[in-house]
Amino acid sequence: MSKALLGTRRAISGGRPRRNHVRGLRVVAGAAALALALGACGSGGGSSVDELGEGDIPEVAENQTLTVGVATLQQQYADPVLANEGGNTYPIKWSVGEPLLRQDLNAKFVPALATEWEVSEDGRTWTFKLREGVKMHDGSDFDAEDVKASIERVSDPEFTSYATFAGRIDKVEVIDPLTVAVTSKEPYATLPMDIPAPIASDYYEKVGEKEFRKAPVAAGPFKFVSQKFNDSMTLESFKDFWDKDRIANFKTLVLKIIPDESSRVAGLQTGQIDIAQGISPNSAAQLENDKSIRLIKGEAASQGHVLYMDNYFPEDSPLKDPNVRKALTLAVDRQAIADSLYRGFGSVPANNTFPVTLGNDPSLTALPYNPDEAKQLLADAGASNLKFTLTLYNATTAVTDVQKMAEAVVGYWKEIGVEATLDVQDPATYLDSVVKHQLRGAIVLGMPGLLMADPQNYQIFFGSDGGYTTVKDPKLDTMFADMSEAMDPADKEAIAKEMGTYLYDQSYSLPVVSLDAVYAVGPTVADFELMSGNPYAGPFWSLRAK
Amino acid sequence: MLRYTGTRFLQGLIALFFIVTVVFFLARMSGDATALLAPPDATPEQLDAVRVELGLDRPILVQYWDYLQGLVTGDLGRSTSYRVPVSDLVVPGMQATAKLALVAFLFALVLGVAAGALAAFRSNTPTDYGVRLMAVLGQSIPSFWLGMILVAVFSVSLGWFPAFGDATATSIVLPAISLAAFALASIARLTRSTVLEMLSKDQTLFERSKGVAPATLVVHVLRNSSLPVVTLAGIQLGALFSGTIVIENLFAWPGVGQLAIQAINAKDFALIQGIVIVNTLVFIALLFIVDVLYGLLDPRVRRPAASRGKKKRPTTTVQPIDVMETV
Repeated sequence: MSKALLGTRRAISGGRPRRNHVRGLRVVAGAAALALALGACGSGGGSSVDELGEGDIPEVAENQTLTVGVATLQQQYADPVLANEGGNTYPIKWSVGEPLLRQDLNAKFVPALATEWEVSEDGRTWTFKLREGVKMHDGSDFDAEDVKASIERVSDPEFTSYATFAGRIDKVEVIDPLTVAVTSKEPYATLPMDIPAPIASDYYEKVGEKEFRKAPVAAGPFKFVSQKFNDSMTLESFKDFWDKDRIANFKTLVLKIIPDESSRVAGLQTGQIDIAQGISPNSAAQLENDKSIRLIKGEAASQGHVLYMDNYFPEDSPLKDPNVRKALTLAVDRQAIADSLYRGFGSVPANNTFPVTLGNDPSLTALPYNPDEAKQLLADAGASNLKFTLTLYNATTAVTDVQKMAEAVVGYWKEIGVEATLDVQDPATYLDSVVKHQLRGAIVLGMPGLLMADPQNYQIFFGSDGGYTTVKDPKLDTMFADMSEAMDPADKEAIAKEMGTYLYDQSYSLPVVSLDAVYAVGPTVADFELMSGNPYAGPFWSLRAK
Repeated sequence: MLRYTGTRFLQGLIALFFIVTVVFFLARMSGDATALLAPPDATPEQLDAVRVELGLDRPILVQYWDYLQGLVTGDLGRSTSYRVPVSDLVVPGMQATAKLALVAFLFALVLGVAAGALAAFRSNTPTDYGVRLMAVLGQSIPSFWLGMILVAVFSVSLGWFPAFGDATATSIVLPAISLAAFALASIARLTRSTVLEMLSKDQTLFERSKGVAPATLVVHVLRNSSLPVVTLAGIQLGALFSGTIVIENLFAWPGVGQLAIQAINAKDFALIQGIVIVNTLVFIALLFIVDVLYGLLDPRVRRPAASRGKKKRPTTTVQPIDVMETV
């Protein structure tokens, strides 16, 4: 058991050495940085984000309210457990809620409300030691009942995003106020990470489900105050939060929904908001000349991919030939796409994995742009007159300008004689037909780094029964099965690395571009560090006001 | 008059029923929200469970019947994405939208009629050319582009108005202007052409030759030109309500336009239907008001009542003007 425990802890708190570039996410680009550095000398205080050290951040900020302009909060669930419907709801999940294990800014899981945990020999029962002296937002003490209440609550089918989790849980036992055991039906290696954020159980029982959703009480770094649907949500810094390093130096955080990017930028310029999330490469390039605005970059937040649906079906197709897929990758000048379409706020990924993915192999190099070799490969495969449809959505949070990206890819393919027809659909229609496997040829999907931090999640795209799968390959299925059973994260990492190489060799997808998440911040912000691999808004506990 | 109103009301109800039906089935044609709500690694059984939870496992006609029953009792259903009753979202949203649309409408109507009349009374002068140029621009500039330009000039550069939101009293100015531009231009153009036509009538010539004071003449001409303008204004007001979708997104205005986009992206059937129904109700109500106004302004429209009525018949014959041509 001790071996299993040791292994688990290693993976969860980051079993591999931290890499520099993941941490150094704060970048001020080019001329703006120079201008700001010069300006800083005059005013006596640092104003460039990457120059700010601890000393520059006031203990108590002058600006007690910070407003963040976000593109969307989707359904604006105030409840941190309900706010699990994809990355756009995470800002609330991460602000109001505090889970047993949380993700740090490298997207690595670290202990939060659980201090240690161990798994039984059969891999089914996880026992968590809970942190002592933690306060909930209503002032009550956090204990094992709060964990139990939250887990039992999501067995209600209305918590659709926990359908998989709830289906795998057998029982929850409170051993003592600070120890809780969770048993799953089958061995469940990612159980600690999937547990919903604990809720104040006494309060929940008192007010009931309906009222709790309107005014949730949990243990996160921000308390929920109020909200106006489709307009804004107001949160307040929780000064009794257990982790002193993540308590804001200001009082009120307003998340203002501004769907239009140009309005977010305008709002930042007029001072209506302090931070603008989701800045496109084009705007970012323009803002680089604005001295009062600084850009913050989170590297490798998402990837834009072309995937080949034909690999899922039994019928013969040229796209089933790895050399044809390789040719389709070689044909695209991905560096040009990253440099011109994405104005340098992107890079060419070697394969599907992210720097934050467990088992990511940095030694892999991206296939070069080589249209001649591509043509040759197609000719050798007898697929010189390749024709198929490339279906995609017209917009996605994960990939800015996804349509332009697809058009560029199709253009490069045309040059080697591949005729791909674009079929652009609205996201809801498109995703529905992807899930139902109604499409053939190729499709485009954005992959958020956050989701792909766990290599097991590649099953979604490449496992036979994954939700968005495009491949039926027994070899990959075996890898996913082995990963899900690997209780020792070192084993999981080894399989993940193997999977990454296999995906690379097979060219099951064409990773077109790896994109950075860009924020623009105004003069009221002292410090803000982004989470690597996260294309969505938040978390905001690293935000400090001036 | 009562019978006339009653017929109009019934017609409105029938239209509403058809729209509800069409939207109900159309929304369901491109798949449901199951895949969007379930986790990406959900098994087929879990997807089925979600479908049951959403009530989408029942035959579509049963769902339709249930929905109609709910509607009759004023229940718009429950939003599957927001997980609250649809009315909790649509009612405040419609209030915000109505505020924006009505302010834009007043702006368009007052300025449009004034500019159109001015251009007609001063036809073929620089004033007229100016108004006509503005009208062409107003009708051809896309509202979102106009909005962005207004923000760039009046918010970012001059700092006179907020760039978005509805937090302060002046917040409404820029979105209302952007939204009103098209309607203003249409109303100005129609007013100009109707007034011009009225000015060329024998009746006006007679009034002029009789030496009627210019102010009185203006009132008479405007009153007799009002019918097509009222019709157009009613249609434009309806268009303003739906035109808010673009403007609300640009100005982060918390109305039903923004809500509609969220609802469509989330395939939230109940919410989509709720928004369409409320929008339709507004549109039908507006057309109804226009019809009643029409009846009041022109007794010939309510002919059975007019024969008994004491109101004076208008001295001119109003030419039916094809409103759509100028819209």
